[in-house]
Amino acid sequence: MASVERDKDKARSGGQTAVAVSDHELAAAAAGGDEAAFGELMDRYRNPITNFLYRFLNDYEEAVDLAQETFVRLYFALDRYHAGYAFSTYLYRIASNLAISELRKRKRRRLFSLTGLFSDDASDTAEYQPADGRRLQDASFDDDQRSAAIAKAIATLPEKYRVPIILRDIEEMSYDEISQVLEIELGTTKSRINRARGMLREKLDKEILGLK
Amino acid sequence: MTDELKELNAEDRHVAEALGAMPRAAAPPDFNHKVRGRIAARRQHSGSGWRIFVPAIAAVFLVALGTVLYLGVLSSADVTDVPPIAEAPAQAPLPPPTTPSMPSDIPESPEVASAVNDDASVPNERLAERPVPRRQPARTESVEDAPLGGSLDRAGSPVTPNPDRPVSSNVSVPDMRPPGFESGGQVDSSEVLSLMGLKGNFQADGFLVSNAEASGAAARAGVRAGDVVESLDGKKIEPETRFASGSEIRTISVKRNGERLTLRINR
Repeated sequence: MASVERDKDKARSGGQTAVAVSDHELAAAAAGGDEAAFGELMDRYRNPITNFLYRFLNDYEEAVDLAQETFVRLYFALDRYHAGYAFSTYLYRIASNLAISELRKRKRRRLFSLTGLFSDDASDTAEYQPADGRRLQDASFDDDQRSAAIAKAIATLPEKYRVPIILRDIEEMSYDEISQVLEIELGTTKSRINRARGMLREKLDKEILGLK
Repeated sequence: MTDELKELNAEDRHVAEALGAMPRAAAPPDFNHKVRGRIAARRQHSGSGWRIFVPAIAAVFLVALGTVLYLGVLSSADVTDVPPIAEAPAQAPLPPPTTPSMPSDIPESPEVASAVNDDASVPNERLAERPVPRRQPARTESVEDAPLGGSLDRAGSPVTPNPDRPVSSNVSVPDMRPPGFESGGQVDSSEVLSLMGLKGNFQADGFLVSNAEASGAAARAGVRAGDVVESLDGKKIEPETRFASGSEIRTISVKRNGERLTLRINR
């Protein structure tokens, strides 16, 4: 998956697709103080991590901030990284833990904030909310509107469903990798992803999903 | 992924495809730069923390170490080593404690004078040169502090008297007591034998003489190397045997080739 993402991001940016050095080698070099190796790791994973966090939080500025924090945490934890599992798994675990912590902070802020008590901003909630049933757009909405509707629906999923479905359907990770990131059983991972798809299906209009 | 989509029902497949088709967010161009800035700031922050804590920890450690050492010195020090400060002048009716530097003009006690004068075999000039043993510091239990510099081993190891110490031609047990305590003192048998000019080892049946100095009282009485001194004035010789200070030895009993001899010490 890592090499797929790497090639995809480099293809998008018009860069070269040839990858000579593995993630493990770069991580080992960075742990030894090689700043260039750490820079290469950032080049490879900054876009996937930013996208993952953006889809999780539905807030680009927050996503970029947490993505940067992810790499800072990685930098100071490289000596604890070992090549027993994929580097991307290690990185996504850091990112998902940060994202979940941020989500819980938002909950606490909303709970203790007077403005938050009277806020009805649906995009800021982490709890599951069923679809309201009304049509979001007419039949002519473009992809951005469609994506915004899907993103809004994802943001309403509980965190334990949100992380696996983003990793699976957006970041295109395997079930095994997702199990490693979340440190849960493979069956639990599949179950949560199926459950998340069902929730989204209920939330989203059939037109958005292209079923009409 | 494609195989899995085939297995999914149509609605779930549409959901998965819709999520996969969403535009991807990209990191801003200055992403790496900002990450490095954060790392530098975090490192500097942690470094400043160490700059504060390291000296503090070092100071605490040094204070603790000093306290431990101080307490260790106090606990290991003998109480008698602590000089009395306030109480000493108030409760000092006793004679002054023994000091290394004794005044040389202290008059000898009458007993000492008579003992010296009784030693007719020694010229008065030699007596004048001979050190006065009774003015030695007070006895201690440590054999290393034995007077006259000899090393005494009460377990029977070789006795090595101080070679500079003169050997008495007569046997008068020296008074080892400090001034003011002239009565009741005692001297080890090894010291008495040494004063008689005998060298050797203690063994089960007495003191095996390895060398008897010719000028000594024992040699003049007839003691030779190889003799085993069994008693002095009838008092059995053992490492623990002690003689009263100031007493005089008249006879010495030895065993020579299995034969017991009682020799009279000439004056």
